Amino acid sequence: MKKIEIYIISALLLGAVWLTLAGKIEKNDKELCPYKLISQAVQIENKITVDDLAKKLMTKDPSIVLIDVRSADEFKKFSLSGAINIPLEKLLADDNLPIINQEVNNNIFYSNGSDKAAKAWLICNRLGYKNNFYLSGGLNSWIKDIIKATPPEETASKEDFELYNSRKAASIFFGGGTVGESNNSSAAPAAASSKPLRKKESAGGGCN
Amino acid sequence: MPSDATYELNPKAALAYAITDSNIISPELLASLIYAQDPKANYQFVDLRNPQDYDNEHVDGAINIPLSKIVNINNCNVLLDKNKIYIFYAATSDQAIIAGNVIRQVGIKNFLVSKGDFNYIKNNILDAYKINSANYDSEKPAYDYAKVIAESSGPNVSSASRSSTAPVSAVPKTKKKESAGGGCN
Repeated sequence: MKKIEIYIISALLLGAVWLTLAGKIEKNDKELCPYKLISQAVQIENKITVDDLAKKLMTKDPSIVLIDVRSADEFKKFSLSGAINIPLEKLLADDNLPIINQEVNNNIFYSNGSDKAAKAWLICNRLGYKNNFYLSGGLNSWIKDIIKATPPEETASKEDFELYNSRKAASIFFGGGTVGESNNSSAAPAAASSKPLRKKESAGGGCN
Repeated sequence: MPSDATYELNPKAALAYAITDSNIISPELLASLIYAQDPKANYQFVDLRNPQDYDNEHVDGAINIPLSKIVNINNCNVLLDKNKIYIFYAATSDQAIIAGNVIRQVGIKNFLVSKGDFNYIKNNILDAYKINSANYDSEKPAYDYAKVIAESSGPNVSSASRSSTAPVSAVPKTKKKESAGGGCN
């Protein structure tokens, strides 16, 4: 009887040791507990508005890396300038880890709305990865609020008009807009060609 | 710290769950649950917004658990009754989805997540159920993005080619390319 007990106890001990070791291998000490994860998720700073994104892209903020989490098909049809494509399904693929687990750049996830990008953000933040953000409203908001910016009512506040003016400027920057209409001299082509060049540079910066 | 022991799903499993969109219910089903008003039904609406917004207006019978309080600080437990089916909605759809994903990661399964945020529910279900109310998905592209971008560069291109002749005709071409290139093709 005693021998059996000793066997059982040693087997249990071995099991416990194995479990802790196996646990350690799986363990990521940066991983956030559920409470901390939720505490982070409610911070407004996790989200970037389309207006802030437009400003950052126009000033060629070199820290920005745009990550499009939609499918490869959707990415091919349209994506933001300089974005890289990591479909949500492939977020944790080994190839992508150096991109999502880093402390140098500011990663901005985006999708058509906010939901898919938020999921990518959530997984990255649970793993304790730094500098992750997601685009509030996604491409739908980008097009509606920036590219197709509509003037406010005449009775709107000064702030609304200022917002509209900056959106209109961004719309011209990103979409081409109506720059050419005011410049009918030979300066127009020069101005027009210098802009896209800058865009190209920022695209390169984002992809690296 | 009682940290990682409290997750039922490891990160890869959590991602696999996030992709499926299970537990997310359509506005149509949501409307039927709101209008059913069966007192015996075990459905419990949970309003994840802050108390002020909740006090202002909420779905009938909803309880208020602000998103920040959904997970207990001491034990990471989620105080939900196993015999009920909770239906989450929030100020924005991504917040409700974050709540659903986190509580599924800790092992809770008896919940549903509304696809629409509170404003959507209010405007399209509570105030008036419209013919398009069921047709909602915030991840659905609201535009043909590439087309919109091409069109918004359009006037520029035509006005430029009107203004001068030879050199300009080359410009619109590169311009068009750029705006497409702006999409990182």
